[in-house]
Amino acid sequence: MKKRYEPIPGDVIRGKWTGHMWRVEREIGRGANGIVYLVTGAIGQAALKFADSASVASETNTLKSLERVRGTSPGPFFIEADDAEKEGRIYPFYIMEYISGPMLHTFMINKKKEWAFVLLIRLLDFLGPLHQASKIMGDLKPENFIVADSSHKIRAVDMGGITKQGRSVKEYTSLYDRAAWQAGTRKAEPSYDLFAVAVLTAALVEKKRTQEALGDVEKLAGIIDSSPVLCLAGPVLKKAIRSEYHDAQLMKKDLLYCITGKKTPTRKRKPKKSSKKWVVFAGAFAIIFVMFLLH
Amino acid sequence: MKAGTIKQLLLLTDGCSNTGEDPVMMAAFARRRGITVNVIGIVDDIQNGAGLEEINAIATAGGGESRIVKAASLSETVVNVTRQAMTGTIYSIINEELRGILNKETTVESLPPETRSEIAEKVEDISEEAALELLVLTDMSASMKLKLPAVKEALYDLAVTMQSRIGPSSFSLWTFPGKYSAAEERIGWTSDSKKLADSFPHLVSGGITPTGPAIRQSLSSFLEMDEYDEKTI
Repeated sequence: MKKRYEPIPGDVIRGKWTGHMWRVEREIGRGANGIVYLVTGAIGQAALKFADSASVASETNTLKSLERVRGTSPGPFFIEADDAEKEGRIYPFYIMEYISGPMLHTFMINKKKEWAFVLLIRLLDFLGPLHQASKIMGDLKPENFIVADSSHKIRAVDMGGITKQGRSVKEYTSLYDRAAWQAGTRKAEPSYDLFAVAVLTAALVEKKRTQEALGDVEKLAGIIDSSPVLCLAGPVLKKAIRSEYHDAQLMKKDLLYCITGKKTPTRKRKPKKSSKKWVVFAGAFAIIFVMFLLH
Repeated sequence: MKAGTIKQLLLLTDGCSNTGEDPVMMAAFARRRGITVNVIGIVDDIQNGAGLEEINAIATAGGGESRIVKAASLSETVVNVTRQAMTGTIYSIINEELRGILNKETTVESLPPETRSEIAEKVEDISEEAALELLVLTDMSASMKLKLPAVKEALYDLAVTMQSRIGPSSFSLWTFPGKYSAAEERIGWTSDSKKLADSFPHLVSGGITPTGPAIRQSLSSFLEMDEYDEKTI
């Protein structure tokens, strides 16, 4: 295996190309292809990721392309890529915005299980623009997301799995992987991510049972039906694990109808604008309702 | 750059070779013929590293990747190793070109980060669109018995991922030791991922581990394919 550069808190990393200095505060994450540190530089706090040259270059591209999606990035803002040189060896790294907050599973500790639906709604908000930009998240696991602020907006902190639609998913974790559940391909398409968020929700609520069912979607459907919490969104979750959702917005809409206790209405010929407004109201109501339940 | 064919040999084993020629030498030979050799060592206990040096040495000589894992994480590892080795192959071609154009010392890593990002985008395109020929060579010596279900699952997983790519993929499965020779072909070149896992043998075949001869023998599979191509053209 390739040698890693593992600095200790207090070390100063000097960028070969920019000359910028970064002081290491602590390690904040460790993945298959790199280690992330919290660092301080002239611009303040930032996150620094060491990885191999190819991963740094490809993740840099992903971060930059996400910023083009809209003004605010669903992931961290990219700052710069550089190399550290130590004893004649080159260790590529990149600097990105430091996003603080709890990861999804940490967030759920000591909270009512129903919070999983709030996170699911927020995850669907996250996925919508990403899918519209012809990308998919791929590695949808709780550790890769942070609940960023009091409105529970979710941002991704690991972009390694983001894949262009139509290709094969770059990175995944078995538990949330459609192919590992033998429920479809590993092709990067919206339904792959929507399958994964449904499993993620199930795992946030019924962790152990979901893990034990891995590989058998029918069993997973059984868990959804028998869990007093998950069954509230049963039809939506089950539709997602059959890969029948291809649009995050639509799944969110159905989910909101579901958890506010209304049946999915038969579509009437209404002018588009008013029906949209209705969804916004239903959404706002659902969130307030769920929050109310939980307090 | 036009997408060509990436050739890989993936060796799955749980220990040290104990008979025949040196597997490291055979891996170096494969590399010279344009075939990358990846090795995954499947162990019960990662701390106990007997025979693992050989695993790294084979992969280094074969220009590929090596990992030591427990059976439980085999699936993910097989996919990651195959992918990384594909990227590695493309980068080594680019490095060679760079050395030809610039000078002997230049590699992609000595270019500024912005240029590297542009190269990375091209590399991803190529690895997605290139044809892949992947030969899996599995150790079936007695000690592998309990690990075979995990191997079968990992191969199915690998084939599913590779078939989700844009470019064509074909697979072939060899096992060793063979009944009458060092290794034997179980499944000839196929693009059907189901076939690879479905016809995976359940029985182990013996006590010896002729890794070197097995690599040599299975390589014939790639070389025949080339000859066949030349004839049809």
